Amino acid sequence: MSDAYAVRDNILTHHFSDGSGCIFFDPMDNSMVAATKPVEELLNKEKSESDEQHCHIINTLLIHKMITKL
Amino acid sequence: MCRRIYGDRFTHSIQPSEFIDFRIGIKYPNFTRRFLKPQVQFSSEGLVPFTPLPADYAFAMLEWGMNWTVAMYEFQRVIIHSAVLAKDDYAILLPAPPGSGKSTATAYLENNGWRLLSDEMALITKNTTQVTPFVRPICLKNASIDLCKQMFSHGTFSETAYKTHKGDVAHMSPQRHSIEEQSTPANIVGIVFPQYSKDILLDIYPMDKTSAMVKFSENSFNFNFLGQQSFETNVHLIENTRQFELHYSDLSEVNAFLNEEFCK
Repeated sequence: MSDAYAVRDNILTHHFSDGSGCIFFDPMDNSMVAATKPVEELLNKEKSESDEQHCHIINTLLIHKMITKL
Repeated sequence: MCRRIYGDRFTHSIQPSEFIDFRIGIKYPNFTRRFLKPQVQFSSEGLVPFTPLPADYAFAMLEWGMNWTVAMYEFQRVIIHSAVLAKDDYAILLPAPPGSGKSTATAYLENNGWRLLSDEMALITKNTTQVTPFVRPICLKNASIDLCKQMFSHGTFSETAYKTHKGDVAHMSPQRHSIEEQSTPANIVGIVFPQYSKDILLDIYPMDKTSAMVKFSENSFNFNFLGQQSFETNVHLIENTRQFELHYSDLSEVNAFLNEEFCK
């Protein structure tokens, strides 16, 4: 995960063996969010305000409470 | 009707010493509804979960009620809305929404060398790939009723319940070989999401595991209840099986693909 974002401590994360991406699971409300490989790559970049796609994805994940901004 | 569809497995009397999983019933809701526009209601462990339906729907309601009961009370296993078929120890899951042709495909495959473990729900032991049989009649809807009656003239079918909330519904008995192995679990090796489309050649799309995990979990009955146990079981299944999307019109092509891919 990048310097800008981190998975919350109690979130379970699984990276699939085929390299297609990862899945986040929040045991607090049993919600689940998938991040396909391009998303993972974006998460591993520094956030860029001009990167609308990046912001949209991060926002989506934030809505699902999986990611905490550091 | 129960005796016709369930055959030898149906019994009129239960000995006091026999273990009963669930106490369920179908009966008239009151004296009046026995004669005036007859209706029936389903009960499970003293609860009446559904509103009464016309008496002509009695058998369909019993089947739906049994599905509901297992979905509500089975907490030892992860439950996925899926057909399950197996050859030897190799089981394939066919999770699919209504209208995808799942039940027709299930009936076809059961009559072409596969054994039926379930048409409706996969009962998966937590953190394993083991699926427990739940051998029950196959629920056919609308056009698939006549299609299956044509294809399987030797089959045993229930009366058709017309214009239910699922359309016209009839049930088809499982075959003898499936019933004989109803206590034998199998090992899941593949998850196939089928979609019927008229007049197309077989299209096979191998799925990446992330997409398969999401799509597979959408078919979970008790994901919210089991939570982390269900998540971990689903991850284990996705990691230890192969997943495909299948668009088909010819069921013999589906059968050939499954044999080639999973039974070598």
